[in-house]
Amino acid sequence: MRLSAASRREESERSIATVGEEDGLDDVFAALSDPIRRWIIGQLQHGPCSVTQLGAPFAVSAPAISKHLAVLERCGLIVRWKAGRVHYCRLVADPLAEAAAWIEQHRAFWERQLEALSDYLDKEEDPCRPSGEPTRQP
Amino acid sequence: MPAVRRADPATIEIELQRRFRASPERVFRAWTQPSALREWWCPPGWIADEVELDVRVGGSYRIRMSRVGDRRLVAVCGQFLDVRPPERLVYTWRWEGAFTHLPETLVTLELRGAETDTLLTLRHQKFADAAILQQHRTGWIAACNRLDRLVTEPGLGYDRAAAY
Repeated sequence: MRLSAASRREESERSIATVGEEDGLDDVFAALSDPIRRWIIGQLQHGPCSVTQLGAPFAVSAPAISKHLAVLERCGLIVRWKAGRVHYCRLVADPLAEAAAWIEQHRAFWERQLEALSDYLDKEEDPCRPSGEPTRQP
Repeated sequence: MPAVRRADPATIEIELQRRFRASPERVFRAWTQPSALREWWCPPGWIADEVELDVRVGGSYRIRMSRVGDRRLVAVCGQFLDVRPPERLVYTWRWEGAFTHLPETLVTLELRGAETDTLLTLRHQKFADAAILQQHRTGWIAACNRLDRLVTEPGLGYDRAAAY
C-alpha cells in the first residue's frame, strides 16, 4: 500500500512539474522576441561573459542591459553572479534553449533556400516561351 | 530584391516572404519537380542524390542530400496535406540525419501574383509542439529517475529484489 501511495505522489508531482514547464515556455519565447535579448543569448552560447562586455556593442544604458538580463534570468535562461566588482552571466543548459536554436537554424536555412530559388528562376529558361526568345525583357 | 521577412519566436513559427521575377506556375514547378529541385535545393558542397515527390494530397516526398567529400547523408521527408497548384502547398517536414530530436513540423507555401511577379509566403510551424514534446521527454526522464531512486531507497517498504 505504501508503494501505491508513493506512486500517486510521484504522479502528481510529475503533472505539476509538466504544467509549470509549459507555462514557462510562453515566457521564454516572449523573452526571446527582443533582438537585444536574442543577441545576448547568442553571445552566451560561446561561454560565460561579463555584463559590461555584453552591453558594449549597444547604444543602450547599463540599466537597460540589466533589465534585459533580468527578463532572461526570470525565465531561467541565464544565471547571474558577482565576482569582486564584476557581474557575470552564463546560459543555463535547457531544452528550451535548444528549441530556440532549432528555430534560428531553420530561419537561416529557408532564407538561403529562397535566395537559391531566386537565382535558379533568374537563370532558368522559361519553358512557356518559344525557344530562341529571350526569357526576360532587357 | 530584398526579402521581407519576419521570424517571431513569440509565436514559435517562421514566416518569410519573397518576390520572384517569375509566374506562380514557374515557382510552383521549381518547388515540386525533381529535376528543378536538384538544380537549386542544395547548398554548395551538397548534392540532392535522391529526390522522390508524389505531389498529391496524401502523397509522400523525400529529398536526400549527400555532402561531397565525406558522403554525409541528410534527408527531409514527409507527406503532402494540401496541393493546389500554383497557389498553395502544405506538407509535413521531418529531418533524417539532422535535428533528430525535432519531431514532425509543418511547411505551408502560398503563391500570389501574375506573369512576372510572384509573392511567396513560407511558413514553418509547430515548433511550439516540438519544444513542448522535448519538455515532456525531459519531464518523463526526470520522473523515471525519481521513481528509480524511490524504489531503490531502503526503508520505503518496497524490496526491489522482490520484483525479479
